[in-house]
Amino acid sequence: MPIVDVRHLTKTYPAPGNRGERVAVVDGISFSIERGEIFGILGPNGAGKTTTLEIVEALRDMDSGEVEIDGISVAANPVAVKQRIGVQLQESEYFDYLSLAELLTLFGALYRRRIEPDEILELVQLGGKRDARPKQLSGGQRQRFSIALALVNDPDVLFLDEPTTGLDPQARRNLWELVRRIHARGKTIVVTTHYMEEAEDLCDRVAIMDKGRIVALDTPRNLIAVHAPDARVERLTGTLEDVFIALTGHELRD
Amino acid sequence: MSVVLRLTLMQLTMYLRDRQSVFLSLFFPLMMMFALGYMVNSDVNPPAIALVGNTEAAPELAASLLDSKLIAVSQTGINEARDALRNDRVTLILELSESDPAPGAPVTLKALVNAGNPNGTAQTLALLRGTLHDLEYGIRGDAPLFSIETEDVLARHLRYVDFLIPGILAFMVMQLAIAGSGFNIVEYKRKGILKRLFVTPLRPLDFVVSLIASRLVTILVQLSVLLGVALLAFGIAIEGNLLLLFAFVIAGAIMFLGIGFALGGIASTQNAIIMIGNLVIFPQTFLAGVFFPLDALPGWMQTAAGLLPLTFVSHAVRAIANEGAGVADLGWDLAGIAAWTAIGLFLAVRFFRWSDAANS
Repeated sequence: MPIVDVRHLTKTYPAPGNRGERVAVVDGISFSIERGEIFGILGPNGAGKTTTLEIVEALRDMDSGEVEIDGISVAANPVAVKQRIGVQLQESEYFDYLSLAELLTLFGALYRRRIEPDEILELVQLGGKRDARPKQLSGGQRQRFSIALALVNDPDVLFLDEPTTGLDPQARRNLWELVRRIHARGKTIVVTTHYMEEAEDLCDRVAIMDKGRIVALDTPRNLIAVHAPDARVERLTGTLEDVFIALTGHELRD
Repeated sequence: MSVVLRLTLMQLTMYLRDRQSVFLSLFFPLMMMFALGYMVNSDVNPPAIALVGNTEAAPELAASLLDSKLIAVSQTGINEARDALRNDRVTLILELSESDPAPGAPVTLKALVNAGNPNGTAQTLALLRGTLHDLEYGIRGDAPLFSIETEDVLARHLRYVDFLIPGILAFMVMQLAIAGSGFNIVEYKRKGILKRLFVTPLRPLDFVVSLIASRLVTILVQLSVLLGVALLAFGIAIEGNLLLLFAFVIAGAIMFLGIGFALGGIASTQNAIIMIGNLVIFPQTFLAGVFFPLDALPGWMQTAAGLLPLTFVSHAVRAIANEGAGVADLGWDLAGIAAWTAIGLFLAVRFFRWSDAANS
């Protein structure tokens, strides 16, 4: 049984400037993720990645479709789903005046768990920072901390929404390492990203979204072989970036 | 430990660590209390007059005036006196004529007054006439036809600070509660903190309860400090039941927290909440009888002002403190607070959508 199962998921919003009409941000997509996978969702801005993720995380309502995590319906039982997943949001700040250790303990308490903050901080390489405040952290440290917070409930599935956006190359590679370490502990990981290199390096399988639909879903290797064989011949090293451009076009998305 | 208790304690921890806010939230009301309490001294000083001219001519008159408790009389030269009148240090100059009066003829006194101060002049002249009449009766040895006996029904003298301090307490409750719910909620919304909390299984109601509980604790502690200072520095008396006073403070705080949540639901940015918050706070500051009684307002305005949320709190707290009112006397205020609490909660539920806040 897949750990994440999405079937015919649709989410519409009112069309801007046109009352009554609605546009589908997520347009009837289906996919499933197996236990222990690192699953990537790629797509240009506005493709519907974050909306899809937030519906799966029980943060948003869906218009139609069915989403199950570990066999539990997200729509019917959001609280049980939230107990089982860890979520790192694209951007979030935390309460001022609380230290990293205090925040971890507090968030653990929200799951009714007693946790060892130092253990989690050690895992994300913030061992010496237990008494620091989130504001005092660098960009990379802050992302690692938000992943630490997503781990307080020892989740089965960890969702990471663009975890490396805005990080320098060193911090980015360091974060990939962290994702692999967490994966090695038996967690399923779902990650959205803009970086093809990241998806290629990290992910077992990748879904490419565009305009609310999934336009391709396979291993990075197969995607390159099918959609960008020419690039491989020309440059000897076809990349997922070639696949991405081949599938979503050159038009700028803002 | 329950989730609510844990969150409440964390909120309190955060509050205590925000030293600047703790300091300011105590500093402003204390400053208001001291500035207004000392500045607006309603223990009115007796009006000052200057006595000039030949006091030898009417020694009993001069002696009795200088003795008067109702008027502060100083004996000076005419030039000094004119100076004092011009600078408002005296309201009137009483001039005795230089020549001895003919025996039996009435003594004529000349009063120099400041035309720019008609109220002060009228008040002083009335006091002066009264003093002269008493003196006259004394000299003639006959009794006045009428006399007035006064009896203080409140049996205690209410000063302006006695009026002011309950008002400031009520005002503080409003400020702290609206800031503690409305302002903070918008901050949490904007920073994505609400959304991050919504990711966890935390129930929205638990979050709201913990926020209200922590704010109530801080409000009660701050009010106790203020009240302590008021008791020590100004010697104000709480005539009524202190527990009842705190009960009204808590009821008022819950009402304003509800109103704050509603405002926090309507506003989506920090600037908007400041504007909307001031729209609610500012008129009440002046129209809810915090700093001065409402009697001076025109009738329709008094009616409207009487229905403001803060009016009910300030009136109840003041009635308990100054008049020793019991719960039976405060039914109207209680009804008003209950009504506004219901309105606040209705608007909060209507405008504050947890999932919207989490999605912003």
